[in-house]
Amino acid sequence: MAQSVVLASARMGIVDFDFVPLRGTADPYPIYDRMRETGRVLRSPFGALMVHRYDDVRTTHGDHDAFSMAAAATGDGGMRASMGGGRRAEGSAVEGMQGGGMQGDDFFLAQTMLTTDPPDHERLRRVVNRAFTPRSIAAIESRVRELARELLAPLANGEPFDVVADFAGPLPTIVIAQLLGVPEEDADQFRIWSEVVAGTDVRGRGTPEASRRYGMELRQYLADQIARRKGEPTDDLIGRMVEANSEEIMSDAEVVAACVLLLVAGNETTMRLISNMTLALSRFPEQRELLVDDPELITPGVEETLRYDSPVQMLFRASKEDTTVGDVEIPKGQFVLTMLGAANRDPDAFAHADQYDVTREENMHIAFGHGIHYCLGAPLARRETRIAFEELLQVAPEFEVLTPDDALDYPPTGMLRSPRTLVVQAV
Amino acid sequence: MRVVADLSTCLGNARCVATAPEVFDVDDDGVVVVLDATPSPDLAAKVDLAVRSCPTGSLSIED
Repeated sequence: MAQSVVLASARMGIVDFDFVPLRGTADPYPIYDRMRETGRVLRSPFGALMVHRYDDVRTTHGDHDAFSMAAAATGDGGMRASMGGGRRAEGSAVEGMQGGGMQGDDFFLAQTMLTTDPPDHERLRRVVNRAFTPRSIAAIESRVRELARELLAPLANGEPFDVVADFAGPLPTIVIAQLLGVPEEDADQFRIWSEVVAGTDVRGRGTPEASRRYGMELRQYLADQIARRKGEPTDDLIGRMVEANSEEIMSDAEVVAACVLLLVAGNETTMRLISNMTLALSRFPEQRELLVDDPELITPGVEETLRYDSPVQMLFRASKEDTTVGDVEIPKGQFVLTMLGAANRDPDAFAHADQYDVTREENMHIAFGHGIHYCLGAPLARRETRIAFEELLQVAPEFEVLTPDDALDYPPTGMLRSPRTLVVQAV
Repeated sequence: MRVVADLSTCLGNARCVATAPEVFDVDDDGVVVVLDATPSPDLAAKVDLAVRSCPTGSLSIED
């Protein structure tokens, strides 16, 4: 009786929860279980609210007026007060959202679709949308396959192979450079810039100082490429953006920022998705065998990896007005962490939620978010990852992981999730 | 069954194209095109899933 009273009152309001989301953990899933048991809306020791139920995350993302991306990025709407006046807290939100690599101040010199609300969001996304169509992404299928084969050669030869540094990282980095239309002769330089700037520099070549310099050089380079295409249109991502922007809906700095965003938001996340899928397939060999026997299952297998071990574990919003999540009142000016990784394991939304099942039907996971900020690069990430495993499982239908579990080295922010190194060998 | 798309909210995420390519496409402006507004009943389950999968809620079915 007493217990049910406690539970009932816990459901009514915001409940304190002893978890600092930006201090990572190798296994967050038991923590998410504890969140579900504790209450519907939680407050972390660093002040942010957390929603973790699938329906609540979906509703929060869908209501971009009440739960604003712009307010989360800029700390508008009384947020500083709610965060204890913290520039620092604000910085950590920003840092987490972009996945490291770039400093917040640089990043927000020009706005992108990621950190804006309507009507700016539409203006900034429309031009990129016209360049980044499903058709333009489908056109690179054979090039991605060719590249995957090249990168996988050491694995095919039976050598120990770091899936993260030698495959999952380079693949999206090289593909996006080609999609953007970076000329062949600049490809190596561009790859170095984007590895350091976009968080795929897993071997740690870039110092923070180099990272800032590379960020500036990368922007300058992109600005030159944009200027070059104004006279002579090209059929690549930058060229099509320039063309779609012929009425100057966006400033040149905004087009540069959009290109940088494609690298920052796309490369590291795809790297993490491919890494997590490799790990899941090693842990569940019967699932791997299903994919080897029927490669058609790789497509739902990618979806299941997105759900089971989401590369992006959480995303920020901020309440721009007094609002509610279910029966819980949310005051204006709160940072709200939407826990994608928890929502994707919500037993109320998914049958056998903690089980990795590549044959899962109607897998409506929320790994790419929901609403107007739904991941623009999702079709590219899905395609790259599908091709990655069509090729990987061809050269290594059976493989073992050589990296011990305690050396997987998950990132210190719990925001993004995947091992830093994952050495495998074909059996 | 009649499939209706709200072009003012569509952001061209193309989940519908992945789910029911017989019924949906995304054009070069990055916006959905309904290829078949009155799909045959055997496509109903796929179309229903496509409608529910749309990240911007831009699709609906009118009876």
